[in-house]
Amino acid sequence: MNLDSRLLVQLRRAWLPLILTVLSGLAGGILIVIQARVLSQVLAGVHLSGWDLSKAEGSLEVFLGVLAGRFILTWLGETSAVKISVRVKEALRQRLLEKIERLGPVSLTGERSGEIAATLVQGLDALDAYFSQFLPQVALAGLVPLCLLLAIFPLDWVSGLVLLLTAPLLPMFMILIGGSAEKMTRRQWGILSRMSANLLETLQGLSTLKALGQTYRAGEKIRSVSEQYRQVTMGILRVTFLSSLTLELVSTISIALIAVQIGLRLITGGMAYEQALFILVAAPDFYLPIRQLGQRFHAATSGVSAARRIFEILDTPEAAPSTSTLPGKRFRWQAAPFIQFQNVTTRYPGADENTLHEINLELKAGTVTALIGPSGAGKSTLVNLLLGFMAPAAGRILVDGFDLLEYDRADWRKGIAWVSQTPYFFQGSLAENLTLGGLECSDRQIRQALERVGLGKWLASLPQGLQTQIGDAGMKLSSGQRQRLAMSRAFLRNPGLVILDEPTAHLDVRGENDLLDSIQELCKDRTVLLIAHRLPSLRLAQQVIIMQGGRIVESGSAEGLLEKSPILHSMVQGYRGTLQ
Amino acid sequence: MKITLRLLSFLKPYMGMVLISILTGSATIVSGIGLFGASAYLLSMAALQPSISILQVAIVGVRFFGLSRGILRYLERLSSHSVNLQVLSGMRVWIYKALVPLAPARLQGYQSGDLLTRVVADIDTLENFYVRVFAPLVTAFIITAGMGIFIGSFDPALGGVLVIGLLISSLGLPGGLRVVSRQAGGRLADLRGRLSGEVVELSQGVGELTLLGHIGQKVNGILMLGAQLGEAQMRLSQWSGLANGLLIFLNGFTVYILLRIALPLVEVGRLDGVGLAVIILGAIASFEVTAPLIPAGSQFETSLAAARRLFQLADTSPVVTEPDQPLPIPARKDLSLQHVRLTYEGREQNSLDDFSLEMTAGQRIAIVGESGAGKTSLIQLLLRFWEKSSGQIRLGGVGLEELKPEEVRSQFSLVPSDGWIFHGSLRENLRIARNSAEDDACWKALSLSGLEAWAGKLPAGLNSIMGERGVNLSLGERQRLMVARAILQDAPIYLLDEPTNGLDSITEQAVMKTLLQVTEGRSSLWMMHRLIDLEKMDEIIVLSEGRIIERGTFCVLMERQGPFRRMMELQREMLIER
Repeated sequence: MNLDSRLLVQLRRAWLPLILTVLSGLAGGILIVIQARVLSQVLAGVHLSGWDLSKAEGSLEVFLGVLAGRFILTWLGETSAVKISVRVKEALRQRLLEKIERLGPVSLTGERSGEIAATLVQGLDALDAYFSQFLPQVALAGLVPLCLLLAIFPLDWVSGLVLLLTAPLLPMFMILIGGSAEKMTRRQWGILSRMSANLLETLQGLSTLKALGQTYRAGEKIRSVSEQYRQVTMGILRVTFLSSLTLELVSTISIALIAVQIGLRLITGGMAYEQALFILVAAPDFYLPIRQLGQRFHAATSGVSAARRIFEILDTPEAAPSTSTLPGKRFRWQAAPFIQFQNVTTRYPGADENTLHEINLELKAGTVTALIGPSGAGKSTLVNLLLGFMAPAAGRILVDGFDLLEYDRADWRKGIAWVSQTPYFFQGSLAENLTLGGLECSDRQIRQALERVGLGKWLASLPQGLQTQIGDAGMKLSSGQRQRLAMSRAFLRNPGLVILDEPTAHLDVRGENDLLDSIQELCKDRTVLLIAHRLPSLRLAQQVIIMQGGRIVESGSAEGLLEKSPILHSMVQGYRGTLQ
Repeated sequence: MKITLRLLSFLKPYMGMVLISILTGSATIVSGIGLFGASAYLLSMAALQPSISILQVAIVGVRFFGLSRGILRYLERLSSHSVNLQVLSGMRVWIYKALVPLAPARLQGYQSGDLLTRVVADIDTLENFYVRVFAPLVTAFIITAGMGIFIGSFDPALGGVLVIGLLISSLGLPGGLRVVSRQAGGRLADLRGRLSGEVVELSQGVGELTLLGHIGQKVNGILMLGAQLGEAQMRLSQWSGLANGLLIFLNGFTVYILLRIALPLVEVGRLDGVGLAVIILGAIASFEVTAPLIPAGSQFETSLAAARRLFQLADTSPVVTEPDQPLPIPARKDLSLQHVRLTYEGREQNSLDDFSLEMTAGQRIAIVGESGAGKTSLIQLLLRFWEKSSGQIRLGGVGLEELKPEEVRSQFSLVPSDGWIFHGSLRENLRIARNSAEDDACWKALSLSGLEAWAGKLPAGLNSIMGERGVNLSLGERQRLMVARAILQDAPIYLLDEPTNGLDSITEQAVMKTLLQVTEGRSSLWMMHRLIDLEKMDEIIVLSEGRIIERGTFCVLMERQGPFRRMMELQREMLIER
């Protein structure tokens, strides 16, 4: 579907403010006609018929009334115009959020998550220019000139004709010059943003420049780059401003034309003074809305490009079948589940190649499976499958003998604890963060969970205890603390299935080994998938899987693999350094 | 006021152009007034049906103003944008020069990128100050004064009313709008920030939020914030709609008052119908000058806020000051640190405490420890980016503080852990280390750092563009490029700050091999995060929380069952990093 029509469809959520905006514009146009009428009446009366103030009083009262009306209509028009975009943005925001919820983490990795956040905030705001400025102006540019033409034509068809003939010239020139000017303006914006990028880059690299003794030269470069860009930009502006010159010329010259020709007909008595004045006063208001449309057209283009990004996100294909299309059997968590992967192959939406190739794997109930592999081996895809964030392209995942896809995913997820490398904590108290998702736990249970991961002392040192605020504006947590908090959250959930990504962030001498005890305790009597990065945790596992390029390349017990596997051997060697 | 004046001082070098742009801007408005004044004169005279010759002047006037207005507008826009670009270019150079002495110590908080982005955005905000705030305001004053005199010449009361009307519209309304909408504007900005934070949290934490069953609540929270944002935006639009409505009303109301004053004047014969028409239509046309000033109020506010932030930053005093009479760089390059302590401002903990080290020329010394142990602080001190809190640092027996900071830096070839690749050619990125480097020297450095084959395959050789929108460098290539730079710098002492940071183990070993070759026979100080090739060092210093906890040669440290040995063992357990 064409972009503009897709944008216009959004208006169905905002028809009331849209109608208000257009109506107040139309009424405003009519009031402009009346105002010009009354004014010319008074001036003509005084000039030719010897009116004094008392005779003019009636007209002046109407004049004041018209002013009050225009005041209210302008106010109403502007607020309802903003309301259009507020409504549209609210609707789009909701759709975007629902889309994100459905997309899940599979399509929202890394850079893409930043881009989506930007689209949801700045992208939506950019629609303001389109919906609250450009769109209402289109209506005004059509309606107000029409009102004026209808008033002028019966009085003087010559002036009316001049206006009627010049009116299409404005949009014509706008499109004619505007087309090339548009490209140039975009180029100019490109240049300006590149100049800013250049400055930003130089500032970011300032330490490097200083260390290399290059600060003077870099300063000269900023100067010369700015100067060069200034010259280029001025060259472009000389052309782009031609469009506004033409618009201005068309409107002022035709006003001058009208003034002179009605002036000449006044001499011969071919026209009444009052009518001539009315046409003169009204003429500028004829061109004004059309010229403003030209100005707002540019602002609207940024809204259109923002809309393109919004629709791109809304059109992103989703990885897993959404729950709403599959009613799903209730899943009742009882004990640790037995999970089988049977010939599981996956492919990310939009990708050309499979990520996992015919994986066959069994996670026996109540056992620990350790998973090793370089980045890109398919470890996180395996996790995404288990968490129900994506479905296999081929093959099946069986839980206690039944296909995972048949179960209600919310039910399934309730019994899983997932400790990622970058656990999530939101703005709120420690207790709130640990019981996220409506867990009902007593303070005593939370304390116990914290003690189990070695955070008991830390908790005791906090003056506000469990009510301590964490998150962006709250207390800073080290990556080790975050990991431990995530583990205590896992304890509180009392899960049947544990998925655990072992921390590697820092080679911390102290305390790293204590964590191993907590991991061991968490694994007890549960089905566990442990993404291992260190040798000691390998020993917790009954089964070790080595993945590479989306395939399981080796599997077996830890002892067996350590002795025989050449791959594992070379991995260990690579990280041993020089200790022999 | 102070900030405004300082902001205006940036205009000083371009006074000529400023004058031209304001004159043409005013002349544009005058043309508009002229067009309607002359037309009003023409029509009202013609209504008396005189001979056509009397009207010739008026006809010429109407045609002249009809033509001149467009042309003047064009010249005004060109000259004002020219001023704008010049001011902007001046400001860029100014902020750069102001930040040079402050980096990196005073820009700590800015290093994250976000805040530097804001500095650049602030400069861009000020772009609008001249065209959108200053020039329209001055033009409004000129027109107000001119119209006051012109209309006042018919009758002082009429001039006075018009001046008051114009002043209220051009100063009172924008000023009033700024005051009443400040709260709503602040709330809008605040809500926008919160929404942005929540959305980032959602898009990053979507997986865990889904698993924990919290995502619905999160989305509802964001929708609620969005609704509040919409309300705030509506409230703001109420104010600006009110202001725009009032502007139209004021324009007409001024005309209304003018009519009430003028009609009795006509009655007593002090004014004729022709003059009346000229006054009224001229007054209406003069209100054109007030239209761009309504948004100028909030523009002014954001400009001031941006300027305040920039000036505050630029006025920060640097951490390291230059000596009044610097000594020449000594010929001997021995490095000696004695009981050095560094405490960053605002922190209680020492980042370096009682640190001592003697390095004679040609020695290799490694400093190991976790991140945050104080390794980076040491580099900051040696490069004169920070000032020590106490102790002595000497180069060839002379205290660093008695030497010129730039010259001190020229004594070190630095291989940083996060060096910056600039958007530019490979040659530019290399010559940044030595301006005079010929292509031969560049190729030699590339070959020594193991990049020769890579560079040979580039589409345009040394002319290939690096960085964003250019050749993408892998972490290994990036790090090797830093090594090539250090080789070109060819300074007496090599400083290596976690030179294999972020490299996989194979690349790591290759880069280390290169570095060991390059530094052969030279002084070199190695900050190490990963413990490899340490047996090749003359001394190893183990840092923890800014203090030396162990030092000695590799063999000695390995025999002792101390912290170093434990670190080695922990590393040995690692299988693979993420």
